[in-house]
Amino acid sequence: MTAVALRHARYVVTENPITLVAFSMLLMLLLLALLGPALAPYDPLKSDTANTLKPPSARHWFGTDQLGRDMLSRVMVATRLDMAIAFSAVALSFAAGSLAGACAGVFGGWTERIVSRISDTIMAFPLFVLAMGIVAALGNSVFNVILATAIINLPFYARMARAEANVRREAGFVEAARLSGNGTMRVLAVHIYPNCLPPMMVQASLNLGWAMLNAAGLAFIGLGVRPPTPEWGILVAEGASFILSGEWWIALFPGLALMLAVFCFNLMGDGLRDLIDPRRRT
Amino acid sequence: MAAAAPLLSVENLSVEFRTRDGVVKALERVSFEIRRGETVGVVGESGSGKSVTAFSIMRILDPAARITGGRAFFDGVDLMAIRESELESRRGRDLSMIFQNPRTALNPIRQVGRQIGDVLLRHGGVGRGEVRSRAVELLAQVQIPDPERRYWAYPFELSGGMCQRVMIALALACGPALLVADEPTTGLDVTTQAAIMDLIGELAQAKQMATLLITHDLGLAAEHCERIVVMHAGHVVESAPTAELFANPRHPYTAKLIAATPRPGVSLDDLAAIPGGLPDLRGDLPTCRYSSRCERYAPFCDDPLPVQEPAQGHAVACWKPL
Amino acid sequence: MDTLLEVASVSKRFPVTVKGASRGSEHFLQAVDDVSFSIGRGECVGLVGESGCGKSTLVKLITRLSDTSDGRIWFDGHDIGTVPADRFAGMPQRALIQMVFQDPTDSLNPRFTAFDTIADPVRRLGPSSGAGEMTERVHTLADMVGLPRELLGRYPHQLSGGQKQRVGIARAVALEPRLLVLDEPTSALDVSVQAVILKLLESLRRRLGMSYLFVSHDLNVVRLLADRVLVMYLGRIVEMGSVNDVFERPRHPYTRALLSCVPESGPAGTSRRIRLSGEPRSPIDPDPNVCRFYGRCPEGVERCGREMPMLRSFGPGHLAACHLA
Repeated sequence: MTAVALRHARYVVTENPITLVAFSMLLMLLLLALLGPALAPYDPLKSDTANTLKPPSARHWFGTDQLGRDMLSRVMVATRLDMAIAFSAVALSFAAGSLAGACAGVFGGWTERIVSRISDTIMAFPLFVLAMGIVAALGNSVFNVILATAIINLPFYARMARAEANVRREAGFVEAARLSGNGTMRVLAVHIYPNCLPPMMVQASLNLGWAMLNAAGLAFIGLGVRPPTPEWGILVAEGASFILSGEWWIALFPGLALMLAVFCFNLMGDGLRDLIDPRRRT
Repeated sequence: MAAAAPLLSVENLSVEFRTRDGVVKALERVSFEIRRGETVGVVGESGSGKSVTAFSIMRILDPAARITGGRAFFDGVDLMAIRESELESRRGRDLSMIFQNPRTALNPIRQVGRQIGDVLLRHGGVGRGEVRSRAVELLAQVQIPDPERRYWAYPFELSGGMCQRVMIALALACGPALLVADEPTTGLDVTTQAAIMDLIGELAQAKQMATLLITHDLGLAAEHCERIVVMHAGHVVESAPTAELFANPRHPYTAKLIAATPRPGVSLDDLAAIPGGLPDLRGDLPTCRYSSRCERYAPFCDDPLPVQEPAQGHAVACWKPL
Repeated sequence: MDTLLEVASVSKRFPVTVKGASRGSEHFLQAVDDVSFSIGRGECVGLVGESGCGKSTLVKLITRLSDTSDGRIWFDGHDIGTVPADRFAGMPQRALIQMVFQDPTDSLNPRFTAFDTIADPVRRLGPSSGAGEMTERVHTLADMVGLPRELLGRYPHQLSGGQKQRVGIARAVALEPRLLVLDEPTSALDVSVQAVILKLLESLRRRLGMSYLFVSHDLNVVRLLADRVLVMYLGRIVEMGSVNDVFERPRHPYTRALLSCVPESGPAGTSRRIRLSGEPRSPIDPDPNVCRFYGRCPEGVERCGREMPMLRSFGPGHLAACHLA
């Protein structure tokens, strides 16, 4: 089974050059996230007052900031935090939202009403403002950023899962599963839920980019992650005040990193779905 | 008696589809004729190319399809050669089509009467003032009860049978000389099916309209068609007048198809299965695409197929006919 | 004949909302109305009728996927109608009533291999067995339905229509049920494949001693396999009897009209056609005193409009519900 899965994975990745590019970028980002601190040429937190605000050069590829810290190292090390926040938030959101939505789609009645009303309530707020509110109320910490991002993303997964489950509920194979002696919970867990997932994989991938932007945005305005922890949003915030005075590199490189990461996640959407959906397994 | 020129003459039509897995040779040198007022059935199983044939004639194929050869003379004009704009003016006016799933073939957000009106305005030379009354007249002609009220109905408010009647009204609005009907009754109840087919037959007779009926149901074709063309894997294997085809099937596939169709008087043991499956239409194919499933196969079957007899007689594409 | 399934006065109503109705009024769609029949051991009973006649609902009631509104269902002497549908999976009779579905694509889980699909009922309801025994059982079933063993590792989208249907049949007979409901098992298949599947179904029936309820809109196919036939119209049984009686000597005007519409190999068909006018009556809040076919029926007298015809006998086992038959 695993041999087949690996062969399929290789096929999917190589079939479409865009998917290949996206997966390569993802691999690079993951590598940086895991090994960032080890690979960084300088200590990201170490200030060097002799070398402040130096433009990109051979010694400092991304230049230095107002405290003389190497920008390249800061951007590299920040990868870990940003990726961690994005993945955790989406994973949490996906798990909770899809389960709630699938249950709502299958059971209907009060389950559906409750899930729908909660979703509607969340969606009634401008989502970023809601995230701001949650982090402000609960306190500035990485966990709260993850929680806030997960909460504002719930409705999308819940709605998708509910629609998918609703359609599958009437399918022949679901009836066949009941005839085979599967109880309601088993039918939901083994037959309906796994089939709801493929269409949601694309959404999840797009969400990763969005979650990252969300966290960066919160950090930019001073909520959630606080300096001196390197995080792309904070780096952009710090660099923003220097743009007008001509030190463009402080904000540009973290901004670029953010852009590339989000771009990569968006491209990955289709590739991920192909991997999961057995219909495409040939 | 000198034979009148046929209304539609399809000659050596070949169509390919470019897919991710290779080129699918969907049709190869398909030829047949229809005369004015005649009802011809094109019968075949899934993958036989019968629907592709219909779509090719109307030139509404998928963008991945390419017509690689052949001609289709309609009233002296080669439909494959003329420009899209000229074809557009003919579609709906001289030749029209009805489709398999009536509810999805109609525009779901437009009232049915209005859809008929669209055709009348575009092709029928009917002025804006008369459009509504003419459309109501057409709805009545296809035996829709209460046509005045039903003019304003949306497709989802009508049953499958009624939607199909609307589609027939749409197709016949401008009195075309040829109606192409692609599986018009698949999925409908038996009583509705009979009513729809009878309706098409009556209207065709009243307007001297030719009908090309595409179907997988041999019994249906037997009941409503004067001639039947049998297709297999993109080839025409046999064509003959209906009674003749059933009395003397000459192609082994035709005989097997007839033997596999349940009908009164035949028991389960008599029912014959057809061994094997359709050949893969990509890649290299033998001259006769039925050869891999045929028990009468002989080496000379790989030679190019014989030229067929004139299409009004009994033609068969086989070196060893029954 | 030893009775396996007994259905007595079964009805199923669905609450519906009606446009323009007064507030607080309740309206019901009568999908199945006072249906009674039985199936004997080893018998094949055909169920015919057109869309809206209630045969799908009746099938769901018999297979206990849904609950009746009224009436009783006995299976092998046990009253199975009283156990709610969502708890029926735990009953011993669950394994004995199985179904083959119409659409082979829709009835297989796209994420399960053919092996998993066939093994599922054995895993859930079969005797506990090890992996080796399970594989053995699935292989036996695959052989029984003529599915090559090497296809067991494939997913539904890698199988042809006929192969998928064989998987569905193997799954249905995995637990050796007593009653197998076949819901249009060949209508989605090509004619050439249909012949093979029908013969397979017949040989399986004899081999495993099952009873069949064969639902189909294709009367020619029903004729091939069924011993007896039930004709339904708008939720009621309008005629029932042996295949010979119903097809050769139909008593009910609807049965006659239905038979006249079946395509036969010949143009004579159109001349013998019995035309039905208008649309069927509404199944919502039907008047219990009016024959459901009244109005569309080519015959029909005043009595049909004020007294519901009940099934009465026209010969041994041949019943029809018509005042004028």
